[in-house]
Amino acid sequence: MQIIIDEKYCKGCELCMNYCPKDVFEMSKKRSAKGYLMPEAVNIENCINCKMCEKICPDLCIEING
Amino acid sequence: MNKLAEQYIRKEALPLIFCPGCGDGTVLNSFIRTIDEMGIREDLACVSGIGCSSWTPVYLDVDVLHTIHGRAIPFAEGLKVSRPDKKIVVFTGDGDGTGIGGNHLIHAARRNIDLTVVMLTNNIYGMTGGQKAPTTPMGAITKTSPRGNDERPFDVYNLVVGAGATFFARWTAGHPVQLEKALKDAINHKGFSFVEVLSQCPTQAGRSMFNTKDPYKMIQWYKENTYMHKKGDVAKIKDGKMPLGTLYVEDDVVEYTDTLQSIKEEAQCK
Repeated sequence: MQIIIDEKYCKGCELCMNYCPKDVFEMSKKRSAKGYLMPEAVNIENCINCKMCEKICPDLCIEING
Repeated sequence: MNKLAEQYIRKEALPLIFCPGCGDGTVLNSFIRTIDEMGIREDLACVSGIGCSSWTPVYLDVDVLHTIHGRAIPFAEGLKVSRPDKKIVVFTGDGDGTGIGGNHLIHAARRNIDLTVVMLTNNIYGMTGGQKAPTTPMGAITKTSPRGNDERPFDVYNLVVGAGATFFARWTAGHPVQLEKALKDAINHKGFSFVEVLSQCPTQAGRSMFNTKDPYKMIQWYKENTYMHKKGDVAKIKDGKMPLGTLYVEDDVVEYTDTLQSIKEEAQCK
């Protein structure tokens, strides 16, 4: 299981974090080149591959492999 | 970027113009999944007017017509009449569709021409700075109604179905899976099909009407103020709550391009 977040296009809206049923994401302190706070897939072992984050992302920047 | 999106997005047009957390991006995401599942990329043509919502199809690598304010539906009707083989999807906003282009909307519904209109309702004129729109709820504070909106909003369902549309579905941008199915049904339906998507605007509507800039809180508000429509019920606003789901389907109604085709054949015979 691998969750890729495209830092070039993510705007840090936190929808993926709020929509995840298993709390996989957490907001990191890291900022992207544009200054947005990035989400981070910290609890990746909890992921059940429901792809809600991929479907809700308004900037089409999340991809789940696996 | 998502691998599926990469196949359908024109990369030179990126990044998306939408604010962080805008519901229009989620609708674009669902629409890409829909056209990929249906495999209609070559038969598809998208038409849009002016507004945040009308930027939605502009990023797609399909045939797109980005037209003038409120006049997306007349352009789409012209395109449908000249190319009846194309599946045409119109992206419009609440101000663009029911305000500036309101007359075009009801007359396209009256003709029952085979178009799919996706209206992204954010209850405000977002791009121009947050003026009140024809769908702004009564009493809502906006830039042009600082003491609360004094006008009643449109009931879009009764407007469009009353004018003669034969398919109506309503979802929010917080229901991406259900929205995908509704878009698929609307594109497959022969006749005027209308999909209303309640789409959150954290920047303008969030600041003045919802007192929050959090898109998730706005989605929660939309979910609390809507209810699921049951098949067979009358779709009406109950206690200020809007029905969600496929609210109206009518088959076997004569379609406009079919009528034109039969007139054309008749004229050519004589």
